Amino acid sequence: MIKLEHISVEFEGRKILDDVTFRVKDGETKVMLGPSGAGKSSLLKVILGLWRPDAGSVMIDGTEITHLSERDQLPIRRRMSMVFQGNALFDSLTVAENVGFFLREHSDMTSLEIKNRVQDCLDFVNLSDSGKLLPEEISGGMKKRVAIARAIAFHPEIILYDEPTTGLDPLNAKTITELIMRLKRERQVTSIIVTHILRDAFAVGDTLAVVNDGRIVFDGAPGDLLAFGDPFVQDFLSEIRAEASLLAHQ
Amino acid sequence: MPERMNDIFLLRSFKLSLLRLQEYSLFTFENIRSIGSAWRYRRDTLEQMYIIGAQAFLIVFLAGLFMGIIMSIEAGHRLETFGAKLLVGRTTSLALFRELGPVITGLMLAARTGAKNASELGSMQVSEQIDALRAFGTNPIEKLAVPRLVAALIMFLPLTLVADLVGLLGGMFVSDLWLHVDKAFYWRSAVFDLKVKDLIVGFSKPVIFSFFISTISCYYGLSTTGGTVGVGRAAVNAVVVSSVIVLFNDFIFTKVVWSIL
Repeated sequence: MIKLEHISVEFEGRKILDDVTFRVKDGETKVMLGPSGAGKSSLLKVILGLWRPDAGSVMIDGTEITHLSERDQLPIRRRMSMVFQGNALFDSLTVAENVGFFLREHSDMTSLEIKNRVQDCLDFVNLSDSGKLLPEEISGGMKKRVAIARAIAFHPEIILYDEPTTGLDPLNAKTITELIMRLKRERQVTSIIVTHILRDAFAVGDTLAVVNDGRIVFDGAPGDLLAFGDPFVQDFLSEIRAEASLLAHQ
Repeated sequence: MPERMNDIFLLRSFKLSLLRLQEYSLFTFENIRSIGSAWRYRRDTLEQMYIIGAQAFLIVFLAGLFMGIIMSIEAGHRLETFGAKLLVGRTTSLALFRELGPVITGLMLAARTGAKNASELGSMQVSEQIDALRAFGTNPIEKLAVPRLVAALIMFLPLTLVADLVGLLGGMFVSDLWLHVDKAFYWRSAVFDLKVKDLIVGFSKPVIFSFFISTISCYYGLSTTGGTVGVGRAAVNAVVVSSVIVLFNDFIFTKVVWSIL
């Protein structure tokens, strides 16, 4: 279970996260919604231990990580994985080397076992023949799929997704959303997905949280969000309502 | 009022510099503590040895050659005035081995290796690749900084030796051609008049320089912020600070050596 309590982060005098508290149960998919700059991506970096909060605690399966040194955090990080907004693929490595990076670094698997696992992951994201290409030789949608393949290669218990469909065309975005749903269904990983796209949030989220100005303004089931009276939430939801009415007219 | 603002600005800059120094010290300490990881990442270390060492051979060769030639011409003409041009070999070798060889090689490598490390690691930082490494449980200092440090520590010494020897050879041909100093005599006075002390001084400097050039440039690279502009800034800072530190260390080292040896 992931548990955040009263997390606050300040950067150059500006509050990025302000007293954030929430939990994610094992196997649950939580979607963090909110406008750009609301502090959603910062939350992921705090959970992963990449950023140290100024106040509050982060518990991963009962272990408090905020006071651990970088070195002591490594074993906990190795149970988690992240799909970065800009993919963050290692540009000097091929697609296959990127996917197998963690296994080469931290597992006792033989080269053949790693090769097979990498191929399985590439098959999972429908990139079976792209292993030898460099990241600069593939499209944005393919890069995102490589990032997902890299994230699942070592069978992590927790996957964090930072804006997984942002910047992709609708077809590629749909492919990525389907991949996330497949991972949830077939591997029961605990996931936190940061997005500002409501359609994706409702498609994959067991629970939703809405972030605005570094604070959580809603945390609950998708159905409850639609009835939530907060003016900011209603304003944010107007997009999906407009889309729904457009579809109804068609 | 403007004076007060000026004071506040100076105080802030001073505080920021102190913070930077503290961060750099911690970074350097972490590098030393993790030095054993160079073996774990031996492929990366070997690759860096090739890039930092073998690929820098030509620039060091040329720098050493021209240094030796210029030194011989300058020293030869001055010494000729006193009828002491036969001392040109000894003068050139002393200058090359003790000062010019290590310092010019240090400055060349501060520019080449410093810019390379800072821009490479800076680009990885702004494209979140460093965060990805950390997210996957890999310590960026162990994986990226330590192999660069160890490669520099190993390769700077032979590169300096190359610069020294090529400089001596360049000086020998110039002395023979323009000053009419016999090659064999030049070589004997250049090599056999060198003392162990001179060699200790000359070959200790590259080790110190390589340590600072590598840690400073990796520190600037890994602490890059502000996108592509930040990468450029990190590269410039790495080269400028490394170069100044090379010269400052040379001064301190020379002073200390003269005091104790």
